[in-house]
Amino acid sequence: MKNNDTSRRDFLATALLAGVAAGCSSNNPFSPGDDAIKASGEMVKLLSVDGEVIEVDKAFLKPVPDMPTVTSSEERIGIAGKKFVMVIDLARCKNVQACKASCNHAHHLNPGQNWIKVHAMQEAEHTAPYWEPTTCMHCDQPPCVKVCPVDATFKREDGIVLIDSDRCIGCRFCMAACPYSTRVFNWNEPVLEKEIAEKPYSCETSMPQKIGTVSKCDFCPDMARKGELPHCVSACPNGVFFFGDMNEDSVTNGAETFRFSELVKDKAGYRLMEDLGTRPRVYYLPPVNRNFPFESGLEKDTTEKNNFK
Amino acid sequence: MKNLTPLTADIITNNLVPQKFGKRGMIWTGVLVAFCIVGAYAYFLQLKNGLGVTAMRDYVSWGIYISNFVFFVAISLVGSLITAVFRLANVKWSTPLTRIAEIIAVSAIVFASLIIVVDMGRPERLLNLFMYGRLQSPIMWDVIVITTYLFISLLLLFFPLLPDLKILIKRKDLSVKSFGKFYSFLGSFWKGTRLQEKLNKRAVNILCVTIIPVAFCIHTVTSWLFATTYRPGWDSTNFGAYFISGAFLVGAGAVIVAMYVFRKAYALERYITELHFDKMGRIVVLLALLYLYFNVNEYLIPAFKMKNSEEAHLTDLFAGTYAPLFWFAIFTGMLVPIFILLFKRGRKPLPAFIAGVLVVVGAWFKRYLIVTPTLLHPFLPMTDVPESFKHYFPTWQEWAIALGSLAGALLIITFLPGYSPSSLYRKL
Amino acid sequence: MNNMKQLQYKLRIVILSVILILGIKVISFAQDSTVSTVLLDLKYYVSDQQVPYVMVKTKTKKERKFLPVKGIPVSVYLNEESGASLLGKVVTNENGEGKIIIPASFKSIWDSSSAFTFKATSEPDGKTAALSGELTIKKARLVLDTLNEDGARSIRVTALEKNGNEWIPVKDVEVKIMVKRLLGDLPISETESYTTDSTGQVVGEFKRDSLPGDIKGNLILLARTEDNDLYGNLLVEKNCKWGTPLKDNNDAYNSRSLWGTRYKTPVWLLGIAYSIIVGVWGIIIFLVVQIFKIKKLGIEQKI
Repeated sequence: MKNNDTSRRDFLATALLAGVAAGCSSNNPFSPGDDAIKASGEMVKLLSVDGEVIEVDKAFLKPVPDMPTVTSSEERIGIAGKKFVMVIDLARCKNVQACKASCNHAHHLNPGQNWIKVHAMQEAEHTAPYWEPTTCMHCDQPPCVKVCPVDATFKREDGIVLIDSDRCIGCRFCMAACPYSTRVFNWNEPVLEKEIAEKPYSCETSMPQKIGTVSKCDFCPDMARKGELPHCVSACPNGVFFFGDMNEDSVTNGAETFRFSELVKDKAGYRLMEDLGTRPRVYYLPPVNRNFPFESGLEKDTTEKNNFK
Repeated sequence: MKNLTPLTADIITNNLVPQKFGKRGMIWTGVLVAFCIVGAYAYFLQLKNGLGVTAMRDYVSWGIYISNFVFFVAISLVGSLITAVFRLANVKWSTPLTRIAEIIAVSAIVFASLIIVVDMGRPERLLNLFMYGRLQSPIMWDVIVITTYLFISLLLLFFPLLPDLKILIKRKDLSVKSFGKFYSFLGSFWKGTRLQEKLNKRAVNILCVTIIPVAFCIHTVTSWLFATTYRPGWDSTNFGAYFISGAFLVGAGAVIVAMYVFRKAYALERYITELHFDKMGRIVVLLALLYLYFNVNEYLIPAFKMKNSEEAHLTDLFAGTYAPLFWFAIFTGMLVPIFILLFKRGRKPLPAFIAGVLVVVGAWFKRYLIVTPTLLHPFLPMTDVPESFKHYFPTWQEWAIALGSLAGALLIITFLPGYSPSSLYRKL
Repeated sequence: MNNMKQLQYKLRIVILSVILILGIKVISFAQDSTVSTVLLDLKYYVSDQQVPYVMVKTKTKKERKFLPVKGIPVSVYLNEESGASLLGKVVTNENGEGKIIIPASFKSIWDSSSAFTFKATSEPDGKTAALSGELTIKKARLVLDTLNEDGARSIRVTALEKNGNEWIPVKDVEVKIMVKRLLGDLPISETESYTTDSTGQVVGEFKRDSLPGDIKGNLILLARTEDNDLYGNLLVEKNCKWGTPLKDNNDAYNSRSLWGTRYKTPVWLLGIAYSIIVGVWGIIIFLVVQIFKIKKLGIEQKI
């Protein structure tokens, strides 16, 4: 029993050592199962807290990038105990488009494809124009998932809507159904580096993209599993995007962390096209007390109905 | 049918068994085959390079393939109209038209299912529909209902054909050898006994009752592919009825066209009489008025309200880039045919034929207008896409495939009655 | 007179702006030329749960922004640059970062001293020049206590510095007190950071009432210093039961719905669909049977 105990402690030490962010509970949902790794017998000495020397089996010393891969059936269920949510603060956006660039880079999107779009919006003639970045809304009642004939796009337990490009038949009904025009299609063979193109498809990374299938913003669940923020959130220099977990009631843009419920209440958050009943998981904070004038973002604008120039 | 010489069974048989193709027939077939080959080549290119060869992009993600699909589904509804509705209503004069209608229905539904495969990004994954099929999706409903309708249409073609097959098998001199074998396989067991007749008649009656709701389903479900989305121009509770009325109209128009062509090509003046054109003309007027009524509902009521989301779409149709096509479709598809066919002179074979052609052409463009302009007016502005994503005009590959599928359907229509014996004729 | 003054004023503005523009040009030019300069940064991390480690970061400044430089081999030494005091070697990753854990072999030096200097060097190669960086750290730790007086919850953090064999409280240490969250820690109140007083202590009020914890209501509280000049990055964590138990609700996911998977089709939809399918295909099958019946009749007739 005692033996078991120490090995358990060692294991915990290494799990932390590997830099895995611990969740709320002591049972870290992301750590590999105890039985998953077998001791190699080869021990490594390490210095622990308070300068104690601990001995750790080398097999437990796994570098972070080689996290245990998630099976495709797990990818369809999602990260247990999470309800991911995003808050986009329109008062901070000035159309820098760093979100878009980093997203495109991280997901190896081809030219013409953008999962994030920054719209120049103006509700009416005399109302203020503002910049509105859109991602996939990851709706709780997703119209795209409703219409998919083969379960290729699906809603997960953690709220994320993903696409299985190995199953998608390319009927594009989801694109017609999505009122937010968030989905993009691989009309041609995607140009990818060989190394990426040869990987097996993962719903969580949405890579590699495949010809004749649909893709879209995936809320970067692979990053969340590593305890990191989605690329758009960390890339934004103005902290426009907040990402987090409704179950933890907190959202962060990397620099600041707020209680989700308070933030949305205090700043009168809202969701896009509420009347359609899609129940998005992306909330917007209205563009009041803005950090930047609208005009400062005009040079990068590509919105179709642009009459602000 | 009061004719100069009394019609005997022999004369009828001689008139109606498959006839040799004339020179015109050969040219007609050659042109159709050429279209099919070009279409097949275009599809080969699409298979090789992906849907990128089309002009469809992320905003206009459905183009003429889908509008062509809707057109085929619409036209296939005619099988139930002519055969079932008229039979149940005890309309005798329609008998010579039923076989034409059934063949149009079968060929159209076959090409509807083919064209929908052409539209798929991954056609090789067609089986996923059966392996992972999800009943919540209207596409799944469409798959089920199209398959069902195809089977029922085939049955409705087959049962009434049995007595005719017997005639043909007897007249081996006239049938091509390989087809003779095929006929024997299909219907050599038909002896025309009273019990067989009884069973056959009952089967046809059951079919006529069954095909009407299934036909309504097929087109209603097709309309739901659009109406289940939020898009302006599609988000309509009127859509099922609107589509069905339009389908009846184009189907009836297609029957008039086919009547005229068969009558000319096979010299069937004694069977397809001016009376038929007159009656079909009246029906087309009725159906065109009905469709016009639904169009008024579909366009004018949203236009009265001019919701923000609808405004761009509607003004684009009424007075914008799509206005010429929109008014062309309204005039050629409804108003002009109504005008022609309202007059007794207009219901003579030739003018009725012209009206029929107008109806069909107008209907094809109408389907295009239902599908594409809507997609060009999404809720959020079109942002961060290349300029080419903001317009849609089909590429030559799309045209070739669409025209090839139309030619293919016409080929089936040309050949099936040609080799199905005693076409156009059921009973004296 | 007045006019003259105005003219002078205008002239001055013109000259000033010319100088300004030229100046900016020169500055920006200077910046351009330093684009390829790679900087080497060191950071030290220690917590009550983790092995102490040193993080090296290689970055470059471009257009007034720091960009990570990857693939640079860095050696880190303790106190002096010699083979015996080599803590480890690392090649910076995509984020320009590399992590070196203090090896167990340094235990005696580690225990005996209360301050160290980490020295990082990188050999020059074709692309980058030789780099070096240094970080001097005093050994310190944080202690976190939870206080619950009359229902008012607060957290006391004490900063202690090692002096010989003793830990003595230190003042003016800036600490942040947070609740641990998955992607970014949540401050316990609106106060961004706290500074320790002369007793080395600071008390922060816990204002996150009814914040969801784990299933049992556990929250992980933490206090940390961020890049403290003297002590580096100190971290202390503590579990407490101040949260509301989490009720993770998966009803929406598990129930049958139109957006569920094919195994979760609503019953009414299944009922309607299957009754229609069975009804219509029943008729079709019946009719096919009729064909065989007719066939049978025909064959019997032959005999």
